[in-house]
Amino acid sequence: MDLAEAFRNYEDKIVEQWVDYTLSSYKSSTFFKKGPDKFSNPVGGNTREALGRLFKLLTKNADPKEFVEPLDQIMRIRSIQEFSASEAVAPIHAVKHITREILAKDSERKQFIADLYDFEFAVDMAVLAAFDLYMQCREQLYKVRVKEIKTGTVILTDSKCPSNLLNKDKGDPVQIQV
Amino acid sequence: MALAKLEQLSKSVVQGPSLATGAVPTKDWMDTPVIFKEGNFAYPAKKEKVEYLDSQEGLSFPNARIWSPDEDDWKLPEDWQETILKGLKERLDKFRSLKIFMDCCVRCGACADKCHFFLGTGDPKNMPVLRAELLRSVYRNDFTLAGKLFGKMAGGREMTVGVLKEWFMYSYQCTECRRCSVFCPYGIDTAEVTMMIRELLHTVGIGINWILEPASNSNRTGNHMGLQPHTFKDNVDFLAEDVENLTGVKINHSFNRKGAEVLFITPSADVFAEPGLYTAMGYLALFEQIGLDYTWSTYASEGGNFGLFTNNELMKKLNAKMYAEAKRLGVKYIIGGECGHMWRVVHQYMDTMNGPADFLEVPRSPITGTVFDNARSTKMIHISEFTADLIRHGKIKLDPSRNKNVRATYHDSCNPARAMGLLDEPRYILDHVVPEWFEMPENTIREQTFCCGSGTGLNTDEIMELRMRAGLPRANAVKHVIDKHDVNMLSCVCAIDRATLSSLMGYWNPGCDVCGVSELVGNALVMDNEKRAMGYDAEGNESELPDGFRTMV
Amino acid sequence: MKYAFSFLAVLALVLIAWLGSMIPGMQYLFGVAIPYLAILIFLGGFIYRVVQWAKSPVPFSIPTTCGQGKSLDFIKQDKLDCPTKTSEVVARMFLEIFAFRSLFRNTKSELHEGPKITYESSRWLWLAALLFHYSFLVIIIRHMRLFLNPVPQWLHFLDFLDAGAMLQVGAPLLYASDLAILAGVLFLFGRRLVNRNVRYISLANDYFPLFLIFAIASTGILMRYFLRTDIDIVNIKELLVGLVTFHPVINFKIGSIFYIHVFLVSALLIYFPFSKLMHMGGVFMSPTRNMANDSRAKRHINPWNDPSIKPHSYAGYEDEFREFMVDAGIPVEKELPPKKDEE
Repeated sequence: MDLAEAFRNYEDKIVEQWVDYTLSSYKSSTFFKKGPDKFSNPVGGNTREALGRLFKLLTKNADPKEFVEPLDQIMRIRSIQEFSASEAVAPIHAVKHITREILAKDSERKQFIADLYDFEFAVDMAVLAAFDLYMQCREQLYKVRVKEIKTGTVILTDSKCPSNLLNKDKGDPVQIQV
Repeated sequence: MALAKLEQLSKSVVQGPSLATGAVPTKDWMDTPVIFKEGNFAYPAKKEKVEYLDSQEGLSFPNARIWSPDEDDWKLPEDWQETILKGLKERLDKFRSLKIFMDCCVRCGACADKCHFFLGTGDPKNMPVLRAELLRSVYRNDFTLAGKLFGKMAGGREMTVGVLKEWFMYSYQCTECRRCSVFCPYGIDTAEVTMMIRELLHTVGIGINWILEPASNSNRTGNHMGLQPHTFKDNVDFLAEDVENLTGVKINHSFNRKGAEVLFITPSADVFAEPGLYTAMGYLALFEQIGLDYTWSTYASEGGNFGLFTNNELMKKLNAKMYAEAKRLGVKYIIGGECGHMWRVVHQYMDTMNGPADFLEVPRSPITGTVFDNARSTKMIHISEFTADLIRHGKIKLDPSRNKNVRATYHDSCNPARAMGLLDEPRYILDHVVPEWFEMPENTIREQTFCCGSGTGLNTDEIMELRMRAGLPRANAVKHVIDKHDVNMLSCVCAIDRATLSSLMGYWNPGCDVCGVSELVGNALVMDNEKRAMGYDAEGNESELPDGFRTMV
Repeated sequence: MKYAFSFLAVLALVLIAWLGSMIPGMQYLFGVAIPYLAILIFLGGFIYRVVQWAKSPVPFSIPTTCGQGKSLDFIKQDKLDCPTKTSEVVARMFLEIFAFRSLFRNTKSELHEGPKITYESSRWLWLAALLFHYSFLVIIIRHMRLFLNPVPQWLHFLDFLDAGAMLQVGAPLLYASDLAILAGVLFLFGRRLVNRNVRYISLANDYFPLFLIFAIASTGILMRYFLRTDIDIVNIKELLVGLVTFHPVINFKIGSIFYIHVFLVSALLIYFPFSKLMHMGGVFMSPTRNMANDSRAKRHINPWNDPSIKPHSYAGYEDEFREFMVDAGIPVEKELPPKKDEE
């Protein structure tokens, strides 16, 4: 019996709790949590799929570059959902605590908690990657916005000029919490 | 112990009321006020635009002023409450749909998870049933016996400023896409409810600029962009030149020409904004090839109808230009370009509002002789119907390999799908103009199609995040076919889609472009005496330009 | 809270009927006067509501099209979901009303591991709704045997089917519809409690009819199988036939449970026209379902169409832009006035 076996054993349970924690950050969380259906429930479906994939990567010493794909799947959604940056990224951390808690409850596997260093380091790397992705998504969002203005998709005669629109921007739409 | 830390973690980042409060709402929805902040509302209409519209005969847009939704004081008229209730009474008497929809809902919840706004935001007030309850609660309170007797216990509530603000928030987080009405056992259509709420809001001077400014432009200059006649002509001329540069065929088109057989009207975005431009080139090439005797109009140069997003009077007034111009020019019938809500108006409202069009003839294709009996009264046909008929009769030569770089999927636009039943004509065309195309998952297409998230005048950039949330269900289904079939082109028959899906793809699925079906037709079209511009393919061999019209601009 | 209020309201109704019916002389109130009043309010209210609806016109043709419309002859029309003929509309409405077709459409696709997608439906609501409504209908029809004398043959047959479905011997027979309606109501109630979305949108007006119908069904079952003191079908039938023929008499003592049952039914009848239960009438009149999708082929008339709303006129448009139009070579109706003098 080793840590890898413990991970395999508890993978479903950990991911289940992780998804649950992540989705409870929404108002209608029950709906998002229910149903594995990705098309009629894109937020829940994508979160579930992404965290499941990410957990596998975190537990097998994968190259942090590989985290980007599943993380993108989830961060792209959270970047535009009225979360602050910290709120958007926070659930990625949660898996550390969930894993410790679950292992602590199993007397046979309690000992492996001491071996969690690599795993937790991987989670830290994932959190950093998630933050990068959050920023990339925000940047992309504003690029899309500027492009829309430039290509004439915003076509009001007297607001063609982006600086004119900036006058109306009373502040950054993202509320940064300190 | 670890979970205690986890709780701390969530506490440290989650503060204040937002979508991320971490809890299911414990408070009743009636006790949850709306909070406006930059990014969750579209800018209010400019004073001068409201004044202009109010000055037009037959229209009423009172209370023009400078105001903002995120300020406490909305500068409402003194008697606003009375105005709203009177307006509601009037509309109950004018629209059976409203009465039935107010009375019949049993709150079964079948619609709840069918709304793209709910799916993308998780905000319970975006469940269609609750959106309607916002109005229904006031209706119950003031217009039903149960509400008068039992008030809140019977689900009634008084019309307050808070309720009004809620109406504004959520009637502008609905794109009138009608998806919920497909699933409702009584056919309750939230689009109708949203339209009524928006009409009522206008009676006290609440409206957004991205709707009222294009509407006033459409009224004055003929198109929502405010292009004056010479500019409109210049743009089309420019596109015609590009078509000539690609195909080597000179395009003969005309404006405001009396005696033409057909008047062609398309959303003005097609002659101005990418990627609609390419769709317009497709029309030009097609009409040239078949030698259609048609004219553009600078006076009726807008297919889209921003009146639909305000009230039925303005919708009627803007729409009336189509028949007025057809009559003035003496054409036989009208062909309409690819547009979503324009076709809702043309198909379900135009004849009723501005008909009968007895000065026109039943549309008959001059090329195939097909009589479009389905449009025998309105006398206006959809370009997809026209093109599909041409293909069916083998009257145009198409080379799908010219679109060989395109791996397409098809997005059904809400209005043609759920307010017209135009589903298979564009699909039939696609079958003939691209080598291969792929359907998105079954419950995201046809009558169950997901909205782009920015319809009904919500395609303004200040609510970009909101639009991205609302468009998530659509983007998510597109991503599925991208992953599975390497799709790189999202085709559609809607001008708003062409604009908004481009942004939506730009965020969710970069690398996937958006096009109109007629662009693909134009690209695949083999023209008489053509001399295609040549370029080089990936291997460096001389070949036809692989991206067709897209190479030109 | 909301369901507690509704529950208490139904409980109060039960108590009123129970206590009231024990007061001597009040039997006529609960057995005759209130039922008559209830029928009157129900019929009057129902007709009033339908007439009120019908008074508002349908200004626009707004069917929700749920399939391919009729267009070119090589494009196959979906006649049920996008009807153009009256017969097709009738078929659509028939399925809507008798099979709850739109609810049936409640499909979900599920993405399983790997690229395979399967489509499953979440049709429990549809099933429970059917169960509930049809068993209710059967029960109502079945009750006709208490009002009709002699009882027609087909009613006996229905009665036999309903009870016979349980394949049992001995009397009284257990009706399938009794069990079905209880199961249906319980599901609909449970769903309101368990499904968070539905719970969030539910009002007291949603719980009240469920409790009321549950109480009606339960008292009916109690009366038939358990609380049989003073429940003599012959006496009850005499009263009910009397009601129908407008010669109501109460010659015998009838158990309280009967009066409670009748009182609750009366309450339902009175409540009906003022509530969402009117969906029974409304479903026939919903413009998104009962109209043909032929608005381009046949002009729909709006009685309040305002002919005074005219477009911004072409003449006004040309006046504003004539110079530009002439410059750009766009044909105009009126030429530019000759320039006075050139400088």
